[in-house]
Amino acid sequence: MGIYQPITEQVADITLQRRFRFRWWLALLASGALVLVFIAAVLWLFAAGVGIWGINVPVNWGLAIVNTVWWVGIGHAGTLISALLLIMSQTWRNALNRFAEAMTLFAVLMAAMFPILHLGRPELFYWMFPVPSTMGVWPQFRSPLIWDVTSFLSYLIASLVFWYVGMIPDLATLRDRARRRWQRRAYGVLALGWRGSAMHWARWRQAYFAIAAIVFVLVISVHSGVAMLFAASTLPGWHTTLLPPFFVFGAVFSGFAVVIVLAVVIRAAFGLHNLLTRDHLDLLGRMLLTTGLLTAYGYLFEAFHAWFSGELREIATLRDQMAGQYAWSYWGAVAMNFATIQLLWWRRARRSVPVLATVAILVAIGMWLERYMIVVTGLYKDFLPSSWGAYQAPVSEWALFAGSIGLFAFLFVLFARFLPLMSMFELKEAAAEEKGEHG
Amino acid sequence: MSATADGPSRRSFIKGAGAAMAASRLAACGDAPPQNVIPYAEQPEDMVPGRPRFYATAFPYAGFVQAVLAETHMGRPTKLEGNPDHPVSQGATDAFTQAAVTELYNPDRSRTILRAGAEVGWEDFADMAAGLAGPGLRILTGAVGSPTLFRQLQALGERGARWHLHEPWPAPFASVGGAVLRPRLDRAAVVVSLGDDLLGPGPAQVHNLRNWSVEGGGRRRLMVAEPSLTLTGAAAQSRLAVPERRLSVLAQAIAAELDGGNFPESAPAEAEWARWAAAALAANAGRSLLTAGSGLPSQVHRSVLAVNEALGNAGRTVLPTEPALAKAPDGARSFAMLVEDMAAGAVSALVVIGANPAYTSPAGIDFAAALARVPVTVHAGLYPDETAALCRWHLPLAHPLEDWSDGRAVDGTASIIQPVIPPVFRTYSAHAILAALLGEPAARPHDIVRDTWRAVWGEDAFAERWRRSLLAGFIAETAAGPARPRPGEEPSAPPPAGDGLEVVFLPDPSIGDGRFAAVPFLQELPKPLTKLTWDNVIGLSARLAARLGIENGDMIALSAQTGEVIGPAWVLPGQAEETVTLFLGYGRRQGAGEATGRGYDAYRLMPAGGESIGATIRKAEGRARLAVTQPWQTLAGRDDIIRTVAPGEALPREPERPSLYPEWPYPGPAWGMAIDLAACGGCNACVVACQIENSVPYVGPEQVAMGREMHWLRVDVYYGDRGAVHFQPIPCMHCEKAPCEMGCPVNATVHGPEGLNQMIYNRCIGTRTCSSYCPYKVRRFNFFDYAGAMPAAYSGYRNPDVTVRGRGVMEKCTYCTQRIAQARIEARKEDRPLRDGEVVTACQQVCPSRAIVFGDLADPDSAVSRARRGPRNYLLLGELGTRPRTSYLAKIEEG
Repeated sequence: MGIYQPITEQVADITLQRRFRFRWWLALLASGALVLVFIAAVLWLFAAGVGIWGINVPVNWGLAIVNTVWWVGIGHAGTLISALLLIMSQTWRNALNRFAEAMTLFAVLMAAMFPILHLGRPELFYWMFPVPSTMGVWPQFRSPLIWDVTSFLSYLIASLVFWYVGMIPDLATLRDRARRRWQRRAYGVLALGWRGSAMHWARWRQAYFAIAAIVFVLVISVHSGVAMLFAASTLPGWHTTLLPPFFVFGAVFSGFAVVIVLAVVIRAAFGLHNLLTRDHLDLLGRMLLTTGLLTAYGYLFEAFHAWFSGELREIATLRDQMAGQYAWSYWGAVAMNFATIQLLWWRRARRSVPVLATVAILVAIGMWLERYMIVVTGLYKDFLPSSWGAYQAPVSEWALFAGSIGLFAFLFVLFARFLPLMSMFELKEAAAEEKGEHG
Repeated sequence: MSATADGPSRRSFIKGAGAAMAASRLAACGDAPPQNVIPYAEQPEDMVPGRPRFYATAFPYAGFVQAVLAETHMGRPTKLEGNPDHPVSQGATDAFTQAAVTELYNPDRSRTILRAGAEVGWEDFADMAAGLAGPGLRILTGAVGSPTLFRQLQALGERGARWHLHEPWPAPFASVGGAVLRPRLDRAAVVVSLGDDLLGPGPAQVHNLRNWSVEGGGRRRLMVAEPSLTLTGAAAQSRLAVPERRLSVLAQAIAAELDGGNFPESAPAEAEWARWAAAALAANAGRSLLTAGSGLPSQVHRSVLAVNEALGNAGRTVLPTEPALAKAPDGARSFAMLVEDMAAGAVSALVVIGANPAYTSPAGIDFAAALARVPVTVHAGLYPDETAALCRWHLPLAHPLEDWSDGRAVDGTASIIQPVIPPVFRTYSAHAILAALLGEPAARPHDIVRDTWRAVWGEDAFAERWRRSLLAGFIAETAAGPARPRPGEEPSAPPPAGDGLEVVFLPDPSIGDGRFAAVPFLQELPKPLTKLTWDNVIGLSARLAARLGIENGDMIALSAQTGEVIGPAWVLPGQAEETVTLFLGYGRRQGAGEATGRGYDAYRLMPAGGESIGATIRKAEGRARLAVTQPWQTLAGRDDIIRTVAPGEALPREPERPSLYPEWPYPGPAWGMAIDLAACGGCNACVVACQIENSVPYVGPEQVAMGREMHWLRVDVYYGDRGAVHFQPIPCMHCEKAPCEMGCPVNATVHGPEGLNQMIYNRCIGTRTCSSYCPYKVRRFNFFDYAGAMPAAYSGYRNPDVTVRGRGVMEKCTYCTQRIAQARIEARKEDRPLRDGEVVTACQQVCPSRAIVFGDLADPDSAVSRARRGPRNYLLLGELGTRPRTSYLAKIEEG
C-alpha cells in the first residue's frame, strides 16, 4: 500500500484539494482573456466575412490553413506517446500520456475549427459531410478536403474515446476520494460504475488496446491527408509524393515540442518533479531530436526533388522559398527546426529544463513558420507570372491565431483542474512492477 | 468604394427612384409622368418578360458615335453590342461604349436643375433662357458630330450667339487643308506611324482595329516611332522610342529619303529607322501608309500627306475626306478666344453643354477667373462637375441613350440615336436646352431631330427613310465623301525644341480625357500597358528612374513653365529616355463619383494643343499605394506561355496526355474557344463586355490593391525581349481534366454535359480550394459582398439571365453559359442542331480584331475546330495535363 498512496494523493489532490487555487485562477484568467480575443475575432469574421483577412487571389489560403496544419500536427505527439508507446509497452509514457492525450484532443479541436472559420460561407460547413438531404448532393469524394474532414472527425472521436476510456479507472479513484457531494456525483457518473473487478480490468484492457491500435493508424492517415490537400494540387512545391511522410514527421516533431513545454509547465506548477522526472525529459528530448532529424530529411529531399526534377517552375519555387519574399519563413524554420535541436545531442542539454524548454518553444514556432512557408510560398507565385501576388496577414488573422492558443490553454487549464492530470493507476502499476522486479 | 459600408441614404433614394420608375415608366414612351399608375395588365405587343429586345441606336463620345444594338429587358438597357451591319462597327465596340450602359444608372449623375445651388424647375430655366439669345450669348460644347445640334447652333448663330468648341484632346484623324485623313489599315501592307496611336483607345479604335486585323491571322507590317508606349507601339514589329519633338524630324527624314531632299540632322538610330521605314513604304507603294499623330504640327501632316500622295497611297490606304465633325468658327483657337472675350467682359451669357472646361482647360487659360466676369452662366452636364460648381445654373444632361439625337461615326456614316429608356433621372438633352435658348422650351428632341432629317430627305421620302434608318441603326451611304486638301496655308515649321527633359500628355487609356472618370467600371479597368486601376501615374523610362533613384510608386514632382504636378512614378517599358508621360483624366475635384480626388491633374501643365513641353523632375516625399492587377509583367523565363511562330511555321501538335480519370462522354456539343494572340490588340473591350454581360461587380481601389479584382476575363501583358509586348486574354480554360473540379469538396464546380467547367454558386461554401488548385488563377472570390456593396442603382444594368453572386462564393468565366442556353432553346424550338457561330460569347462579340473564336469542338467543321487544328494552335500550360478547352494561336513574328 505504501508506494501507491503518495501517487494517488499527489495526483488526486490537484483535483480535489485547494492547494493550487491561486496559480490556477491566474492561468485561467490569462488564457480566458485570450479566449475573449478569439470570440471577438470570430464574431468580427462572421459579421464582415473572410474579406477582413489578407487573403486574395492567388494567396487565397492564409493563416487559417497554416494554423490548421500546425495544430493538427501538434496533436500527433499525444497520440504517439499514448498509443504507440502503450502498444510497445514503454511504461515511461505513464507520466505523460494523460495530459498528452488532452493536448491532442484540444489541438485537434483547434485544428478542426480553422477550416470552418476560413470558409466563405461557414454556416454551410456541414455540406462537407455526407448528410442525406433533399438536395440529393453528396460531397465530392475525389477532394482531399473530404478525406481531411473524414480523418479529422475520426481522429477527434477516436482521441476523445481513447482519452476517456483510459481515464475511467482514475475517475473512479476520484469518485471514491471526493468529499463533496457534487464531486462524487460528477466523477461517479463519469466513472461509469467502475468497481475495479477483474472482469472490468480485462474488458478495459481489451478496449484500450484496440482503440490504441486504431488511433495509431490515424496518426499516419490524418497528417498524410492534410498533406494531400497540398500534394493533390498541381502547384510546384506542393505537388510531390514526399509531402505526406514529410508532414507526418513534422507533425510528430512539433507535437513533442509542445508536450515538452506542457510537461515543464505542469511539473513546475503542480510540483510533480518526482513523477515527471528528468529521465522523462531526457527521453522526450531524444524523441524531439529523432523526429527533428526526420523532418530535416524532408527539407533536404524537398530541395533535392526540386533540383533533380530540372523543372523550371519547381526550381523557381525552391528559389522563392530560399530567397523570395517569404524567405524569412524558410530560414526561420530551418534555424529553429534544425539548428536548435542539435543541442539535444548532449545529455546535459536534454536534462536541463531551461534549455529543453527553450528548444521546444523554438521548434513549435519553427514548425509554424514551416507551415506558413508551405502555404504562402506555394501560392504566391505559381504558373503564370501574371497572376503572381503577395500576402500579408492583418491583425484579424493574427488575433484568431492568438485566440486559438488562448482557447487551447483555457481548455487545458480546465482539464488540469477537474480531471486527473496523470494516469494514477498506470503509474502505480509501473511502480508495482518495479517493486516486484527488485524484490 | 468601401466594400463593407454603403451609403444608406443614397441607396434608399435610388431604390425609391427605381421602384417609381419601374412602376410608372416602363411601358410609357412620353416625357410626362402619368397621373395614374396603371397596372401591367395589358402586355404591349412583342414585350415578353424574359426576352430581351434590341434597339439599333448609337453612343456618342468625343463627337463621334459608336453604332450599337442596345439590349433591353423589360425596358431596362443591360448591354450594348456593336451594330453588325454598320460599316465601322461591324459588330464590335470599344471598352468605353461597353461601359456606357452603366452610366445610365450611375448614382453620381446630376438629376435636378440648380440655380445658385437651389433646385428649380425647367420653366424657371426656360423663362431665363428665352431672353439670352443675342450677341452676348456664347455656347461652348465639345466636338459636335450631330447634324441636329449643329443646325441648332447655326440657328442660334443667326440670332447673334456665338458657338465655341473645346475638346481637350485632338480628334483621332489628322486633317490637312480642310480634309480629314482617314486611314484604311485593311488596304495597307506596311504602316509607318509617327506618334499616331491608331490602335489606342478613342473613337477610331474600333475602326482601326477592325481594319488592322487580318482574316486567318497574318500581320501587317507596323513600324512605330513614339515617345511613350501605346497599343499601336505594342503591336509594332519595329518600334523606335523617341521624344515627341523628334517626330517631325523623322517625318522630314522619311520624306527626304523618298524624294531626295535634305536629310535632317538626326541621331544614328533615328536615321537608320527613318531609312528603314522609307524603304518599307517605297517597296509597298500603293499599299503602304505613313501616318502622324493628330496632335503634331500641321506642317508635319502636310509633308506626310505629300509622301502618301507620292507613293500612290492617298485615296487607297489613306482617304482624304470631308470632316464628319462640325468645324468651329475659330478653328483651334476657339476656346482660347472665348476665354479672352469672357475675361474682357464681352460675354453676357455663357452656356456650356456637355463640356467641363473648368477641369479640362489647358495651362495658361484661366477659365475660372474669366467665368467670374460673365453675368449669366449655365452648365449642362451628366455630372455635377467642376464647371457645374462655378456656374450659376446647372442642368442635368440626359445620357445619350435617354433621348433622341443623331451623330456621325468616324467614317462620317450618320446614325439616328433613339432613346432606349425614358430618362432615368429628370434630365434634359442638349437639343432641348438649345431649343429653350431658341425660345421653344416645349420642343421635343424627337421632333427637333426629325426636322433636321426632314430637311435633308424631303417631306415625301422622310417617313420611309426615317423608319429604315431607325431599324438599321444608321443611314446608309452617308459616309463622308472624298475631299481635296486645300493647298498649303500652314505656318513654317517652329524651331525644334531644345534638349532636356520632355513631357508628353496622353489621355488615360481607361477613362479617356476624364469624361469617363465617374464610371467605376472603367476606373477599375486595368490600363492595358501598366495594369493600373483607379489612378494615374507619371510615366518615365527605366534609365531615368534609375538615375533619379526612383521606384514604381515613389512620388515625384514635375515642374514645367506652366506649373507643377506631383504624382507617383511608374517605369514605362519602351519609354523614350528623356521623356516623361503625364496621363490626363485624373485629379478630378468634383463630379467624378468614387474617383473624385484620385490622382493628379495633368491639365494644369498641358499646353493648349496638347503638345510636349520641357520640364524638370525631382523626387518628392512619400509613396503611393497603387492598385495594380498584375504586379509581374515579365515572363520570368517561362517563354512557353506566349508562343511565337515564323510565318508559315507550325507548332508541334499537342500530345494526348494520360489521365487516371475516365474520359467524359459528349453526346452533344463540346464547347471550346481559340484566342488568336496575333490578332489581339490589347484594347480591353472584351474585359468590360464580360463584366457587363455577367454582372461582375467592381470592388474599388483598396480591394484591387489587395489582389481581389473580380474580372472574369483578364488581359495579361508581358514585356519580352527586344521590346516585344505580348497581350494574352485569359478567360477560364474550361479544362477537360480540371484540377478545380477534383478539389472542390462539395460538388460546387463540376464538369457539365457540354464540356463546360460549371460553377454552382448556391452550392459553393467558399473553401477556395478550386482557386488554389487552378493553374491559371482565373477564379474570383467574393471576399465581401461586392455586388451588394455597389450602389443599388447599378442593379439596373444587370443581366437578368445571370445570377448575382453573394459573399463567400467563388465565381469565374462560364463561356457565357446563358447565351449557350438561349441558343440551345432556340434550336430546340426549331428542332434542329445548333449551328456553328450561333453561340457568340460576350468577349468574342465585342472584339474589334476578331481574335476570339468560340464554338463546338465536337463538330470538326466548326470555326473553333478548324482554328484548333491549325498550325499555330497551342495549349497554355498544356504539359500539366489539364487539357484546356481554351487554346491560343501563336503570335507571328518575322524571322
